[in-house]
Amino acid sequence: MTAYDVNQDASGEQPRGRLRVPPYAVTGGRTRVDVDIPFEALVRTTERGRQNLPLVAFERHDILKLAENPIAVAELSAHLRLPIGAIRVLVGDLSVEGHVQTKAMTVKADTALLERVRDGLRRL
Amino acid sequence: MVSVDSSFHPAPTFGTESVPLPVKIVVAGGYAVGKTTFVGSISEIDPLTTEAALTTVSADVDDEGDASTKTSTTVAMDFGRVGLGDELVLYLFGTPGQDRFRFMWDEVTRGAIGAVVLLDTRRFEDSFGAVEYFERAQVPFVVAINAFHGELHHSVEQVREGLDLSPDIPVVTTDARDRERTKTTLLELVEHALVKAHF
Repeated sequence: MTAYDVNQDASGEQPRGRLRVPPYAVTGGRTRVDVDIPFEALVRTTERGRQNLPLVAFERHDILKLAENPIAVAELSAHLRLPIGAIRVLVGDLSVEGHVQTKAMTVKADTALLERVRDGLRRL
Repeated sequence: MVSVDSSFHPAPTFGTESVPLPVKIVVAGGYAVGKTTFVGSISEIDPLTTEAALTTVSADVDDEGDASTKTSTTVAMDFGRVGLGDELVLYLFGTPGQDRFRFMWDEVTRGAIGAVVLLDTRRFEDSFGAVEYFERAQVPFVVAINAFHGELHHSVEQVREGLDLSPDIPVVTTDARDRERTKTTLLELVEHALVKAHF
């Protein structure tokens, strides 16, 4: 088995608790952040993602399950025990396929947003 | 309404479910200063840990010509989450404040509302790098002295002087274990960011 050939790994018994392949193998060896997704970006499985769930395997499947309610990229990383870089690539692919939608700030917070954050904190 | 991209990709959005907007505050500070305690005191989940394996490229020049060396460094970050109503979720990311972690701050601070630099007055030097970085990058920040057991080894004035802070940077005392004081510290930061946003 090559490091990049994750699918071949499926025939064997499932490793328990730890990864049998290097974390980046799950992204097919791509580690570059060609998908510029912030750590806190929220990911949510789309209707299409739910429909295609049986067709999607491994970590991608896990992401679609976890993202049934909005969940941050960093949370996916923590729950799936994969580095954030690997999650980003997987989420990027799922997003391009229309299986998830993502949401994050892409501009500097303006006054209106800061006021909402302030008011939200005050109400805690 | 703030301009927000609902997707980073040309991918269409399926379904009509709404996704809250995530906002981020960075909690920077030296080793064992109480970052995770601070995050955990207000987070609605137990702080989680994520690993950012970040690649830094350094250029080496030798007789053979130019070559670049890639070094991968793994940094663990603890983070927590606070829901602010139905439409906003605040994420708090604890990140090392020492200078040698500077390479990851661009990444962590991108899109952040601002930063809390948590300070143990016995170890000023752990925060120099973060303070300098946030000032230069114009990331709104406050310095919060984590006063363990109400103990202050240096006064607020001494801290301001020791860190060579601009007069407009708030210096506050906090107690990372105390939810209300953590909340007050975060509010200080947001208020400060609001003042900065007017300029």
